[in-house]
Amino acid sequence: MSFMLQRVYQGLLFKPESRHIHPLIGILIILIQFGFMIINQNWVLGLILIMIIIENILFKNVKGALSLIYALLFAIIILCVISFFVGGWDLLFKVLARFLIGGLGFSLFFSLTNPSDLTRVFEKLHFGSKLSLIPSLTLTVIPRIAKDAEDTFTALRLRGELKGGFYRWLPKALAILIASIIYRSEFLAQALYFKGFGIQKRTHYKKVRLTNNDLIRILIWLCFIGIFITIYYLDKMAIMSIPSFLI
Amino acid sequence: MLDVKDLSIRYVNSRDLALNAINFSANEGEFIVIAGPSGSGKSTLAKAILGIIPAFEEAQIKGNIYINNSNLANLTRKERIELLGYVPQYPSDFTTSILVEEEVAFKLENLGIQPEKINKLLSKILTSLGIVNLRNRLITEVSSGELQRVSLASALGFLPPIIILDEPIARIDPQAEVEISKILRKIANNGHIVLAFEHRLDYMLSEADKLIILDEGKKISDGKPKENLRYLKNIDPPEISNLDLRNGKHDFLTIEEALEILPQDLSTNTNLVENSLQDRINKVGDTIIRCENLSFRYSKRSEFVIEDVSFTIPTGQVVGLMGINGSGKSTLFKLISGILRPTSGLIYILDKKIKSAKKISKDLVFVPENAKLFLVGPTPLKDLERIWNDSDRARKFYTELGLNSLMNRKLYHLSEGQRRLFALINSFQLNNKIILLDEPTIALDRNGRQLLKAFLKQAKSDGKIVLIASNDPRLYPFFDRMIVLKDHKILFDDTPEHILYTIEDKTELIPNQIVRLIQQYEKKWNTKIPHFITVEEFNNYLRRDN
Repeated sequence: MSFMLQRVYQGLLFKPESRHIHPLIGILIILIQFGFMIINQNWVLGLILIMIIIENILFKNVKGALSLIYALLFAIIILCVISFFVGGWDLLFKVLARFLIGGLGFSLFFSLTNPSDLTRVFEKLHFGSKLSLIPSLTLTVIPRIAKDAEDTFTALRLRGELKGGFYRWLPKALAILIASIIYRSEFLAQALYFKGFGIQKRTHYKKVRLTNNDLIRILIWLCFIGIFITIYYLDKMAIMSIPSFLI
Repeated sequence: MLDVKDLSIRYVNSRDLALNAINFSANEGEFIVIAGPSGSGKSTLAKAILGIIPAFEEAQIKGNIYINNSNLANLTRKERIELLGYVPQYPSDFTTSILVEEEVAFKLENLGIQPEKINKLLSKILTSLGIVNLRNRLITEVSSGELQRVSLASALGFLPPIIILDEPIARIDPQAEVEISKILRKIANNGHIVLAFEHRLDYMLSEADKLIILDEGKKISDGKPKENLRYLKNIDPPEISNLDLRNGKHDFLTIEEALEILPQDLSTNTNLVENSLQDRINKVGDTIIRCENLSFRYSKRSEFVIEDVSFTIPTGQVVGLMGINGSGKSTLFKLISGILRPTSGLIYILDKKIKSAKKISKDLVFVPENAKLFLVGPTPLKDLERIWNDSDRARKFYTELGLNSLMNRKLYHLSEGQRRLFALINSFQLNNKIILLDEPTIALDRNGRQLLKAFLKQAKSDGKIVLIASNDPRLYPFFDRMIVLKDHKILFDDTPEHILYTIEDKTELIPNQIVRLIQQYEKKWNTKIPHFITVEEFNNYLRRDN
């Protein structure tokens, strides 16, 4: 569990040294990606996946993306097996592609978007200060919980408490872990209290601006949409000529 | 000005008073240290001044707290936050942002300060605390000492008149302990009231204007640190203050003061130390842990966290594992515990090659830094009953240790130090051959350390080995041997007597005060005297040979 949490954290970690993307652009691109995921054609899903992989390489997020996939590997395998038995290779490809598009898209989004910038933008959009702070707080809390989970399982294992089936020891371990999470939540509440969160309307010491990176990235995706529409509506024959197993 | 008048506090689920009629005042520019053993009421007093009691914890409160003649109870949250800056016991639990700069700015933003002013304040505070270079770093990537400074910067953000610090140096490396103490002095000199609730006092007390000592909820002394040192004797005095010269005790606060008084003609018979060392080295039993060319990295592309580390640990040894944050201490613990598998190299425990944690759980016990994760039972007594399957024996055991008043308390009603103490005690009762302790002295008071010392002694005589990851100088004399990691490799592996006298030159760590005193004495008089590592040894030497 701790291993998984740490991988998820690494997969969603903001990288201060990377080229930043304006949160609104990031969200817009995520929405575009999710929009394309609705289309139930393998070549579209395949293309989107290739685009996202290339973006992850260009923005140097290969490690983060792999980390997230690694964390979700068990879930991916289970999904793939079920999909294969239900709908064969076709369904397996569709499910796997969607899973990877979602995972890699989110990983890239969080690696390029400062969660505090996201908070600032959400507040500007009148999402409410509490709701706006959630992404930032979540990312600060995940590593602490991951460390607690790791220490709990290590200590219990070495105390000889993790004997027998998991149904015997898991409640015990979870009880300790949940108590610790509650304890840490209380600290977090105190931190927000002392830092004056919610007292009055917050000011923002820095502005989130659009940069050339944002424009380039959104242009690429708009081009992609353009190409897709062109192929789909103006040249249906082209689609027809694609091997049938890919459609 | 801060005025605490007749403050008494009783927690809702407790019969005893946590604070009993506390009175004290603090003026602008004063740096006050509030000390006391675990459970003495330090944290309760801090929480009351900060308003955590009653905002987060229910309690009956009598008496008043005034800040600049305004009753704290009548102030709004905003007024209170503008008056009080808070550095918590766990800075990492108090972070609410991803980047250092944002963490410091968060409070200012919430108080509605204009962006231009925030940027000016940010530059000023980060510069004054020497952390400008960290402003765009991830909070999770800074060291404990750096995080303490970030937390201090966050508290200082609005330049509040009062700064409250709850055990500010419990989690930092010794070198940072000296620096933080000096920074607090500087902050007080700028007109702030600094209240530090702390019992690690080696370097802090000499910078303070006033020492207030609490015990069992009562104030037992209040005055200048030097004049009140005698009240600390059974609590947690600075190591140097225990120095006992021919002409009586001097209650030194600093190494420099002691150096002034030490005579020039101390005996140079260095055999005094070498003989005792030889005795210890010769008592080597069967090998319990053997690491051969151990290396570890998380992936093929990442850097090594542990690189080519080899050592053996025989029965009956207490080994200190030292090194600054990120040097590889925790990873080495995980490798020995079988939680991680080495990238290359081998680990043998009792001559069996380690393959997984499951296989060695009978031989090894691990107490993590967050000690509450170790305790399974809802109370310390229940936890020990689980280990022994014998409630009468467990009850009797705790009663003999003088812990009967605490043994039935729920874990979350115990102080941090008390929880840690129970985790340590219970870990020694598990009857494992190998005991791994991660930072065991955080928040532990002198009594707790004395108990730990007794258990270590018992473990040694039982032929167990104890591996302790800690940079706490107060623990150094407990070690038979030290392994110092630097840049993921072993830099030193020797006895404390041999390592501590060179550690400051080659690492960012510093030795305990008595070692520093002897080093400075040798330098001052250009001589060689025996290299003791405990104040007791040095006192005996002063009495016997001079």
